[in-house]
Amino acid sequence: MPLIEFKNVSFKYGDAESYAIKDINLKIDEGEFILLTGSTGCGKTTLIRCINGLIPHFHQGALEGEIIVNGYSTTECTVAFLSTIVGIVFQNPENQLVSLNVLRELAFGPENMGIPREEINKRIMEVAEKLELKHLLDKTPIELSGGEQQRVAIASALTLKPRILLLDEPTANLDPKSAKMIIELLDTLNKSLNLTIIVIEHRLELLMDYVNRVILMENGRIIADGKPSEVLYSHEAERSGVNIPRLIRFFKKLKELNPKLISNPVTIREGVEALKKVSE
Amino acid sequence: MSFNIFEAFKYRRKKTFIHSLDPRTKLALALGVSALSIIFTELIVLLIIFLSLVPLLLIAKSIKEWTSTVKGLTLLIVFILFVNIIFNGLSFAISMVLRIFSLITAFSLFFLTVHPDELSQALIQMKIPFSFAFAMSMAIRYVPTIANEAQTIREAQMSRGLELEKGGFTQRIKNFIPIIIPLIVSSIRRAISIAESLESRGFGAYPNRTYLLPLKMRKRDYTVLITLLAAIIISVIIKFVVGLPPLLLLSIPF
Ligand SMILES: Nc1ncnc2c1ncn2[C@@H]1O[C@H](COP(=O)(O)OP(=O)(O)OP(=O)(O)O)[C@@H](O)[C@H]1O
Ligand SMILES: [Mg+2]
Repeated sequence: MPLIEFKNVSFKYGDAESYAIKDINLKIDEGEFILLTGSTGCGKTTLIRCINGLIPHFHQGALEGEIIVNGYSTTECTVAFLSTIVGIVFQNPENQLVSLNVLRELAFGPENMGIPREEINKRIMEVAEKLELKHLLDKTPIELSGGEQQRVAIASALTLKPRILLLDEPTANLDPKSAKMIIELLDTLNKSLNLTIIVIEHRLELLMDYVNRVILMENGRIIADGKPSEVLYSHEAERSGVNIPRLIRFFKKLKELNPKLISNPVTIREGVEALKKVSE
Repeated sequence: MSFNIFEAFKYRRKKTFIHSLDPRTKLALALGVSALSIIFTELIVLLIIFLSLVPLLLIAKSIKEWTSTVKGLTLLIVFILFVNIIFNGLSFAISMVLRIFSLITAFSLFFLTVHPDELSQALIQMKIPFSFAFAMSMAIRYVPTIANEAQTIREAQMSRGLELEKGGFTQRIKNFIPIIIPLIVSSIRRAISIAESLESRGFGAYPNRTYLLPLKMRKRDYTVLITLLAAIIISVIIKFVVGLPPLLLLSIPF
């Protein structure tokens, strides 16, 4: 059974005329690390809001179809219940750090759940250790750098011990170095906890070394879904106007010139391999 | 800006005896001192009350912050002093000022040494609903964020030619509209995304919420509270039953 399943899902916000997402069918297994992309307004945020129940419980509108997360139909659970299965991190960390210090921020979710104190302390220590936040526990959010803030936002979702982590443009407000650190952290979490991760990101290049799957959306629909090597070399990707990494554009050109080049490299290492093969 | 008035009411992280007291103890202290300084009208007694607060400020290492508030309030204090001298005489005027000093000192001691988180935890343990206490601590949390944003908007509008200092009084107020409107819009947007984040972490979902850091009264709190209570009882007895000794009734004779 997949961990997340969308069955013919469409959604229209409140009094909107058109669908924000339309006819979504999707299966996601445990342990996947997925990049969700597509041009502005194509429905990425809407899609992930469906997974943790913010749609339809927080954002009202017309929801059709069914979303199953870990065996539960999201319409039948509360967002609070789903929060122990699905963690979510948004673009702007300022709006997610609601406490006056990091320790309390990490405690916030488990406190709301009524989890016993010893268990909360244990979780905070584990997560703070893993995300290297121990030295920041008594800092206020304003004293932290953007990258640290985003790490705290991730940590405060993780103390609820979710099996799925959703991130909506987590690096949009960060400098390139902090952005890279966040993505590497996600990779570690994906591998060490077998955490299922879906990241919305416009800077595809950042994620090429890590994700096993790319989902591409356009006008509320999924127009391509598969391995990075399939999706990013597809016509759909070309057409949708997403920011295809330079390496891939380069190899696309190269493949037109040299029919012997048959693989679709997405990382530098794969690129080097491919070139080695043809030159042999 | 007269921001420094608030300096005295802004928490500073310090390790002192006063900081280590339970916020409820400090609240009782502030209220008790206020009550005393309202009950008594005698110059000498008010002076004693005020002087007995000074060592507390010293222990809390907060003299500097306190001074900056008093400076910020100079104008107000001078005004009160003069109005009272004209209508009620010098002795009464000085008593009034001493009383105001005691009140300011008592409350700034409270706010300088109680972390907003402790304050909200204290409210919760005094049976104030969690959502209310949380809203208060969040308001404090977002003051600098919104202030930053206001500054950014101000700079953006000024770079497009907005002149804040131009025109008469009403014009000057109108000049702020291009700052206020975007600020309101962005704050509403921010509030929605904060609400999304709270919702996604189970805010208010279950009645049996855990509080990671509950407050506990310690021996030192009881010591302070008992001392305070004794001081209040003794003063009230002296004032209303025994009568104040003549020495304490001395005042400036005009
Ligand atoms: N809260 C809302 N209320 C009404 N309409 C909304 C809301 N959020 C999004 N929409 C609309 O739904 C559509 C899909 O928006 P969504 O935010 O899911 O896109 P997105 O792919 O995340 O875009 P971006 O890359 O800009 O974040 C858009 O037309 C948008 O205007
Ligand atoms: Mg979005």
